[in-house]
Amino acid sequence: MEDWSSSACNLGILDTLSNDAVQEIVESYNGFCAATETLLCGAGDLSVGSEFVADVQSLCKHGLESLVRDHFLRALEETFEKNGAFKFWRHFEAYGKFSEIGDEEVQEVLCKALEEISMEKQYQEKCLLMLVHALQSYKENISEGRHNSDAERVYLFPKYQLLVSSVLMATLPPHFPEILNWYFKGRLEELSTIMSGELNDDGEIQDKAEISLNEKSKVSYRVGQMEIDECYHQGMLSENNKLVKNIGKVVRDLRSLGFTSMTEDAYASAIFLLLKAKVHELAGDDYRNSVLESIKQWIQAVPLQFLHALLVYLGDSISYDSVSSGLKSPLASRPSSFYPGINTPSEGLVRWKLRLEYFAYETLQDLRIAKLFEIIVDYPDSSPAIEDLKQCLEYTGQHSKLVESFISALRYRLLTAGASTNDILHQYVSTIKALRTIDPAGVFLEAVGEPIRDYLRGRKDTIKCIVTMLTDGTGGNSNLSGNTGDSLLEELNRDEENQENIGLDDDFNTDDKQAWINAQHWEPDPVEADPLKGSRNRRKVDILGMIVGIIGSKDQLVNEYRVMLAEKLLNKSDYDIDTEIRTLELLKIHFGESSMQKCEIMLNDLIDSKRTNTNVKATINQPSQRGAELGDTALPMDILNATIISSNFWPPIQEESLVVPQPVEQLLSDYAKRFNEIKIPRKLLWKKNLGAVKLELQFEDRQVQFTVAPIHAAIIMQFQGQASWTSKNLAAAIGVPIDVLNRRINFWTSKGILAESLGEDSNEHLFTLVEGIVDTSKNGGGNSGSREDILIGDEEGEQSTASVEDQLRKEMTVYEKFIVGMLTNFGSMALDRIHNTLKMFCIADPPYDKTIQQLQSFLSGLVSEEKLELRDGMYFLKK
Amino acid sequence: MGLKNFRSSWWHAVASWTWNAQDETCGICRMAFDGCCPDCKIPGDDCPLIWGSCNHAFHLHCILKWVNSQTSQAHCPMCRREWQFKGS
Amino acid sequence: MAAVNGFSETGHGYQTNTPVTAAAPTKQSLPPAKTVDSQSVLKRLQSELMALMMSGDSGISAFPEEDNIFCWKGTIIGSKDTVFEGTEYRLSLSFPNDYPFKPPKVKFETGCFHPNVDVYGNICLDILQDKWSSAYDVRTVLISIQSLLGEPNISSPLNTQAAQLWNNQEEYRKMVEKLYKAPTA
Repeated sequence: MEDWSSSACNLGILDTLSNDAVQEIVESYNGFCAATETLLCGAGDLSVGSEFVADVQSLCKHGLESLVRDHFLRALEETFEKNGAFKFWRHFEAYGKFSEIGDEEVQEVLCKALEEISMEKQYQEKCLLMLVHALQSYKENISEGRHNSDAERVYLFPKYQLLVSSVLMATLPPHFPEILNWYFKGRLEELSTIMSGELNDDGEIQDKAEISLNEKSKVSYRVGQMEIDECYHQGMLSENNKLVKNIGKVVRDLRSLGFTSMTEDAYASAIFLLLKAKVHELAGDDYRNSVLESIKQWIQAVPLQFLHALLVYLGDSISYDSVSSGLKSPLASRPSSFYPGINTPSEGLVRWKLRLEYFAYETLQDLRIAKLFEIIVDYPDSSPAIEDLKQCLEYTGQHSKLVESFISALRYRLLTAGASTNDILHQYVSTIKALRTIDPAGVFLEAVGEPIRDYLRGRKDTIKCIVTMLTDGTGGNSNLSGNTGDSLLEELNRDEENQENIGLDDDFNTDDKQAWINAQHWEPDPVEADPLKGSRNRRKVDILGMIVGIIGSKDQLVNEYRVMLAEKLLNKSDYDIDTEIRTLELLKIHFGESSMQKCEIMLNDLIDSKRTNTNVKATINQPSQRGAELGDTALPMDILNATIISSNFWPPIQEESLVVPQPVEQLLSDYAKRFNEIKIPRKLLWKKNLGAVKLELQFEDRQVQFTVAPIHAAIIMQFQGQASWTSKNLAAAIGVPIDVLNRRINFWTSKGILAESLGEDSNEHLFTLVEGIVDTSKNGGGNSGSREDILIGDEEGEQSTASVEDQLRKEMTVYEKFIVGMLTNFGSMALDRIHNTLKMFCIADPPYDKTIQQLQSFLSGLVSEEKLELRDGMYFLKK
Repeated sequence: MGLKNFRSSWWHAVASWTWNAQDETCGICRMAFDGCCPDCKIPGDDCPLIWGSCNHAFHLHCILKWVNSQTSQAHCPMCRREWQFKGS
Repeated sequence: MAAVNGFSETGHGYQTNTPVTAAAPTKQSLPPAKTVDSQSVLKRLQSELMALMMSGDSGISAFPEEDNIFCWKGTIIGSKDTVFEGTEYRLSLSFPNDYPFKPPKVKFETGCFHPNVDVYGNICLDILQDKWSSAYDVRTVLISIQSLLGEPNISSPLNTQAAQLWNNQEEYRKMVEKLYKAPTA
């Protein structure tokens, strides 16, 4: 018999035994083996019990206890392998890796299999108990009752437990964990459905919670046996608790088979999967509602209730920790007070809550980050989503994820040739507005903003768009209800006022920011730190500052504004500058009075012009006397108004010669003469190409009105006396170069007032007045000429002022001269000293405003041009 | 040619003003004549030019400072002739 | 350097050796007629600096020191065809609060062997004293000093040795070379 080998250690004893004794041993052993087999293999036949006990005791008498134990355990193992494990696994054979598993089926099969194997195990335990009793009673006999009655049980049962799980683990089919997963997933979904039904009725949740509370206090159990007092479960009438009980039973069975951590993993992953699905379902693409609270509520209502009930059912809510070893530990614990219906939750449950919440935060955060671009497009309507994201990030601390993901979204979605500069700017502003909620210190906004700023710097129209956005009513906020028509500047100002009103008790932000910087390893930028932006301003995200940051300096922005303001003012046909004054006041608040000095003078010129204009016209010698001399052609002074500028304070203005119609010329000269009389010795210099003219063109059959630039008026007036002009003659008549004429005359041909044809010389264009035109659609019913028409249709890209770019180029020459100047007198200077000296003294127009890095690269340029030398960090003049 | 009448119902013109001095900048403050002296903010009537009998012009505020800073008879900073306001 | 300790000091520090500069205190001790607006001085000096930098004059240069626009360092190169050809002189200029109504104080910082420059670097030049005009500026002052190098006023010398040697240009040139020490940064 194979069993002998295992008893080899006892063979020595056999030599010392008498033949009778040997005989007895052999008989007892054979009896024991037979009884064991009968016991274990018999279907619950315990009739051999008494023989079995006798044989055991007989063997013990001969000191063969360990042989008895070993043989019995081996027999148990063999039997369990055959009757337990093999049959158990056979249930699942059908569900290979790739087969679809029906939820109902899994549940049924699993329960059945578990029931079966548990029964087998229970039976074996009964048999084991019989052995225990036999061994015990023998021991009690020989030790006369002084024996520890429990020793055998304590020794053998854990051995059996180990045996069971070893057998199962050794034969575990690879897809079993997946089956468990499926099972728990199905049950949790079921539970979730029940709960979502109940969620609609708050009262019921409360009831339920109380039931489980009562339940908890009454549950009694004994460690090791995990017996639940069934009668209390009969009290649980709700489907929910029945379900939990079923699950609990499965979990308990699985645990007793040694699948503790596998089970744990399975329901944990099922819970997380469900949670993830729930977060996705709740959050979805709806950015206009906060979902975080509902997610938390759901966690509370479904998985936590489930876990609570489960832990209570299993009776190990306290010792729970020990079995969760297979899972990573949750974040540092954080006191949590939100456990409705569960007072003093077990530590295990608290950990679960933290884990689930962390997972939910992370899931929601990832979801929102992936869609951040859309969310920001939708801002401010999407602010609830932003607020959620903020909370998530505060919890997870994964801001860098946001930065990376958002930057790549920006590159892919926004920073492309197809996006208009305006769109990019608006998205930039929305980004700032949205993200400052999440990041009040603006630290990672800096990182996110950088690619946008970089990109915008490469676009020519950026400054212009920025100024328009800042100062134009239509630019700033596209969809803020009730505020349309406000410029971004107005909005920023309002923000600021609100913030001022809130007060300055936000000192903690400084620490926040510091904490941030430390946490994110972000480098503050002390070199660029503008000392003017005092600590108070540094604390909050400075939207204007971030916009100015695109251009690099406020001076360039102010300069561009001045150019645009000039353009606007010079095209005015009245003196109404209320809007401009308001904007200027706002700009003064943000950029300082001295920066806006020139703009102020420009506006002041308009105010002065109005006064002077009235004065001149009121005191001029009325042309009534002259009317006789000049006849019909004379015009009344009434029609002339003038804007008189202090040209030193205006951007450079492009002057083009222009011969205006004689009667107008006469008015201009009369006006200038009167001005000189009033303001002696000041004189007027007309800029005849600038201004605006309202024309009434009376034809036989119709009358049309246009508001046009003086050159258009000059052109069309020539046709009053002569219906056809060659471009050459016409250019000469109005005193402009022929190419200018050809460009400008398009306005009239496009309006259908003039027709273009080739003249006798094919190089010559002939323009003829169109009589009796019928195509009214083309000229808008006779009153088509609005200012917009001209500006957009005819004069695109043409400005009365010189471009900012030219001025930029000029700047660099100035810096070079200053650098040479200082090095001549100081011999050698280090980079930062040159930088500081330029800052201090280079008050050009605009002043020196470069960063030290920009300066450095400029200096390297000068070094490579061999104008400078760089030795040991010092710059010298190359001699 | 049919009956037609082109007229401008208004003409809004643009001009710049100038003090009409020979030089561009004031010899004392180095600021443009058509700008203003360093003590003024708004050019024009508030910061007028003044001519000396030698025909040199200065911002009124500048030449007054110069004249006041001299202990004896002031001279024109440009030509050293005795300073007299033109026309006085 | 030590002698140039502010424009309000009126040069008492070196008056024993400089009878001409000592004449200045009588005027300067009077309080300024008007309250001084340093802002306008600042503007004027800034526009002078800008003009000077952009002018591209060769042989003269100046730039404000560190952070004080009232104190400048100047550089003059000796003109061609004079005994000072090839030499370079560092000067200091300090501007009073009522500049340009009062002249700046200008001194040589590099030793300059010249009839109208004393051993302390004080310069005797009428436009820096009683012939000052508010129309002068750093540029004209430096140009005047540069031409003073080649055309000294022998009649009222501060450095009599130099004045006597002036007639012998060859010897003078040797003396200049012997005494010359190029300015250092």
